Amino acid sequence: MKKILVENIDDAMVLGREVCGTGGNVLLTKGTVLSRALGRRLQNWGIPSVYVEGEEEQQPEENMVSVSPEELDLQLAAKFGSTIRSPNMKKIYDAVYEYRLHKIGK
Amino acid sequence: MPLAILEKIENISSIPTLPTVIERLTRLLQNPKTSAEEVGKAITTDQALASKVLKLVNSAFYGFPGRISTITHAIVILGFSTVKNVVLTASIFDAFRSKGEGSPVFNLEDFWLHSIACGAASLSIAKQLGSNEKEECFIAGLIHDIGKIILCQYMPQEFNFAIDQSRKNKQLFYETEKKLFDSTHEEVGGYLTERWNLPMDLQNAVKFHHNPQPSHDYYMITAIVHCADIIVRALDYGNGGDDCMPMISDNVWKNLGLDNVNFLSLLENVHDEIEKASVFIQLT
Repeated sequence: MKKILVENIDDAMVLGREVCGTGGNVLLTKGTVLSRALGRRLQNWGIPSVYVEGEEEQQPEENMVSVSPEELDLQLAAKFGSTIRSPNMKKIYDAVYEYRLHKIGK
Repeated sequence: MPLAILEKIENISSIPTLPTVIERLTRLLQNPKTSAEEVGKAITTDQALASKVLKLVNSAFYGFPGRISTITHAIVILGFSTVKNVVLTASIFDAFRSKGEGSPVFNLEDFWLHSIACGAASLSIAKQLGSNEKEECFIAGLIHDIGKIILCQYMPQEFNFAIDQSRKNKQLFYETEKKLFDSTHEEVGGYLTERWNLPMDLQNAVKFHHNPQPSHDYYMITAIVHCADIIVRALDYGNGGDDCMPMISDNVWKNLGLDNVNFLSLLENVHDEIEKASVFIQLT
């Protein structure tokens, strides 16, 4: 499965994950066969990207340096400093940690 | 003694101005009888600006890559309000383009990357929260730190000293300038947005993005930019001048209902929007 921007949707691509609208309602179910016209409609609904079936192409992220989870934790802890004592900042920290780990493929 | 930065800035006569087409557009759009042709004509009086507008509306960011060939066509497809916002965005970039090269301690490329990312993150948050002011949120995020550019260009000595001090002391630039000058880039940026006669929501987002509480009627847009600034700092998109993380306001967290937001999915959307907004980098 790979994630693509909706403007790159091509005819006959197959949706790998359901697409939800901003209100959480399901717009398209997994397995839907996509088309360019449907891609344009998704764009109008404000959906930036979708998951389609197929092999993911590994593309290096410009601002993501390959580091170990421990190093990432240290980097983020240094960045967040004492703000991490706030429960809300901790939630942001956790999401950023998980997101960046996912991006660097750990 | 504070240096009364704001007073000095107010006395500089060469502060950039926005093209007169913005005022003409605002007037035209207040009249419900205005046609797409009239608005198109007003924009095309400034050919350089019109070509930038076409470049932007044909980018992935506005969703119609390579299919809009005239300003009138852009208005018909995207609507008056969106086209006015595109003109405003292009004009703001024009006002600062090629004006200085930053400084040894302040990299302009990193600054614009942070600003564009903050705009894109504000747009993502606005979408996630179902806001009707998505485009305004993008522009507000884009220009939230505009005061720093003014300081960098017109008071480089004081500005560079403050940047240097905030890095040395691992302190937010905002806190350092408050301590050193008793004025901040928020006030300087706010002054500029007032002088440019920008809409009140944009003025407030620039003036209060570090502490949105006083923005009253324009709280939501200001709070969204406050949150977006923190997210793009955490994701390391560009650099606004310091390496610190501001604390998210408890009020912003509560009023935006951030407890109900899936941050991981928000971060993915932020990344996508930043990719799409990369067309703006070519305008800097």
